[in-house]
Amino acid sequence: MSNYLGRRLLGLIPLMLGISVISYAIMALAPGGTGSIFLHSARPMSPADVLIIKQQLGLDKPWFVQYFYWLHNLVFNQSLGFSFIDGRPVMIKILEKLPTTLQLISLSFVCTLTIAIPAAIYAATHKNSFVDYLTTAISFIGYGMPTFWLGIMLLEIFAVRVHWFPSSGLSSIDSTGFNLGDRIHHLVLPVATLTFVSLASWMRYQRASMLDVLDEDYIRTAAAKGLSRTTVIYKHALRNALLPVITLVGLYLPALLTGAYFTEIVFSIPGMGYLGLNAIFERDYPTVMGITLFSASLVVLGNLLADIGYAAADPRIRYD
Amino acid sequence: MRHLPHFAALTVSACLLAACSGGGSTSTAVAPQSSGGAAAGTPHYGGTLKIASTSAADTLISIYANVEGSQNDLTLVYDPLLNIDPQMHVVPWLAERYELSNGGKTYTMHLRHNATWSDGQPITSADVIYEYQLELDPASQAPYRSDYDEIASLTAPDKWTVVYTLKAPDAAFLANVIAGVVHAPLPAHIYGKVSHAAMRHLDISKSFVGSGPYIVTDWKSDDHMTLTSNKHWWGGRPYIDEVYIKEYQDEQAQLIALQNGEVDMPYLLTSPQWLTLKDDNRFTHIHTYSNDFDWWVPNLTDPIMGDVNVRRAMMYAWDRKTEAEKLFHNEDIPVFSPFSLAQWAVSPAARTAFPYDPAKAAQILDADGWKMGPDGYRSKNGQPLALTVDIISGNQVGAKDFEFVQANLKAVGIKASAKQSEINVFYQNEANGKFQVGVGGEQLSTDPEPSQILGSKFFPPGGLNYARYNSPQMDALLTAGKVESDQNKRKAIYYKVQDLVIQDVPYLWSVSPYYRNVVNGRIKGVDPSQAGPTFINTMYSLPKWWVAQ
Repeated sequence: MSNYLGRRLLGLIPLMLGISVISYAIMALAPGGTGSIFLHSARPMSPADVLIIKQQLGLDKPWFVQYFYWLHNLVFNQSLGFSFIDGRPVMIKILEKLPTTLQLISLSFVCTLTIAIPAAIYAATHKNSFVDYLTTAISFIGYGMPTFWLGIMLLEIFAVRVHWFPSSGLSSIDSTGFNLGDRIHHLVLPVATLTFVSLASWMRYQRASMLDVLDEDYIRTAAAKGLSRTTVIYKHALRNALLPVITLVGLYLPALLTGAYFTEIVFSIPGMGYLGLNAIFERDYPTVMGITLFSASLVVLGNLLADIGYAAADPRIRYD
Repeated sequence: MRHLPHFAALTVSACLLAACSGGGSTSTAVAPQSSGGAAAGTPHYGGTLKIASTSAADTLISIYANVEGSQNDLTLVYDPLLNIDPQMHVVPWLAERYELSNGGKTYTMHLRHNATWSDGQPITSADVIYEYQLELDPASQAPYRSDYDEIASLTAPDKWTVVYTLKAPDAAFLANVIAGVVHAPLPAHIYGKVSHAAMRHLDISKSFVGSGPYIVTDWKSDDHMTLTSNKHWWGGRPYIDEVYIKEYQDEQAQLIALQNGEVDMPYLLTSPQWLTLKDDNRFTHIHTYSNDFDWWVPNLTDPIMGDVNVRRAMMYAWDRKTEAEKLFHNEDIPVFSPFSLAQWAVSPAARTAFPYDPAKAAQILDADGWKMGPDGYRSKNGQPLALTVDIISGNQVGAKDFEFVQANLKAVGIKASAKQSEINVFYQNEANGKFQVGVGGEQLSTDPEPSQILGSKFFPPGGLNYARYNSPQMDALLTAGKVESDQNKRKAIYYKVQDLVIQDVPYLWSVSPYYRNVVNGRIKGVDPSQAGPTFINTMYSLPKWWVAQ
């Protein structure tokens, strides 16, 4: 196992290098160049000033030279560089936003699993029942519903019309310091948004997996042995039905991140989504690269953890 | 915001598109539409004003304040030597008086003796000199360094006096350069030991020192900024103790927060937001001319767009009144020159030029040899009268507006086709001259001096004359207007500029949006008639506002 892990971790180096080269190339070769770094000025900047700043930022050099400088800085100075837009260190900008996004993702993930797994088990064990149809309907609605649209609808209903929840942010303007109740109050709508759109695929996967397992011979054998239905389902079926879902945890991370980014925009939550969206629009290369590396690392690690988790859950799987 | 149609703000991310305030403009407020929060009661200290922003401040150091959010926020914490009042006059500020001499080339500024930084240190000529030298150094990456190009020297004869000597007289220098927050003095006693290159990366959020009526006490990038009143401010302690600026990434979320009373006012309202709130009597309403306008930029080096008769015909064929009514709910007004309707320099001729007259448009084209074909479009010597119009992609309202104008043009035999371009590609094409017509927006500077868009010395990449308009007569007028210090004489010169603009049609002017805002009625002392065409001008009187008990 340790050999396997070592090989996988070593393999991450060329993988991340490849991701960084491709990302930088796509960004730098996109039509239009870095002009938009300066487009956001309230008053037009003189082209002479733009030229000076481009020289200072190294943007007058070919993209591969820029990439080399960026990589050199990353490897030898362990720095993601400074934002083209506000001059702040990219690492600090990301670290400022990361906890917010992780908080949103993890809470919604917990909520998703808490709802999806029991609902899927019930639907699978009561196939073609009303609840099964209901969860299927909810799943398809969730599949078809864009995150931002659901967010706006929840805002309109619960923030504007009935005033149950605040419309934006993570804390009230009047609150001083961290206030758990206030934070939860603010997180209800965004977490509900992200949970609902995630719920769909999780319920479908879990239900399908459970149905597959319930058809297996060993389940029939367990039932024939006279074990209770609860034992058969929760001890024998569920553990096996969770195996493919564990893999999904890693694979689902990119979708969860994307969903979180959209949710942050709708609910004015200052997380990685807002940072990334602005950076892309503004062609802020260092920040885009920083977020890309961070997101890619999370996804790659997610995959790795899924493999490890798969082995841990299934004694038949061994990595040598 | 440079060259972006104002209506783009309706459809694309607010971080990109909010309309802008580049240090104000020369204009006067029109009568407010309504006023829900009267200046009633007795002023008293205390309370918090909550402002919604859709354009995040990205710096706390004023020389880097080039985006709308930074300029708006830092205007409250840094004082320039001179300021622009709501009537758009240049008024003494950190400099209590100034003199003009040497044939209009030398400005002598006398600083207030009672003005201090928020740490108690006096604001002196050394701070003015420091800021100037910092901006001049390319290592500092100052975005408006070239504003200082026309300064031959800056000297400090004593602690309280600075002398600007210009290379040539420039009547717009005070309004466009000295009165802007980006050129406000910086505390030399604090930053003097920091290298100029390091200033761009300096984090001063925990140790902010400013010179304005408020000081920054808390800043979380992209989330909020908290300002606390500067009790040592030379203008007297502001009534409102705290200003909390909350960042909203979504215009709808901002509107909801306003409606719910979570915030008191935004930087500005978009047209749909205004239509939602304009009859809500919980707010004081502000509705004035702005200095933003939209236009179609023709490339005059193109054979078709280089034909002045085609441009004139397009202006007459364009039904701006219906456009403003149908597409913009009368929240935009037709314009025919680069001078804001609110500016002192706008001429009567420029207010009414080019009435909608498709018959006259057809007549001009007929006379110019553009013959109507059986397909309903014109051609001359085998060349069809067909235009490709560049539009920034994703701008749905802009696309609808194009369709409206397209139908106007079709009615007189001009074929216009839209070409959607990604925003960076759009600007790159304009800069490189690879376009026929581009749909954009522009904002006027505080002083109406329009050389940047009309002067032949300002072709890209050196300037903003994207049309490549080249007229020796216009150049002579622009030079005359720039060196003349008497405003009445300048006005006469700019009237002639507008006559020439109407004659040559170097750009196809479209509409100008109003500046719209609301302030929650719990904030007292807000006088809508004293609001300027930008957020910055509107906040001029903030120290005299107070929160209702």
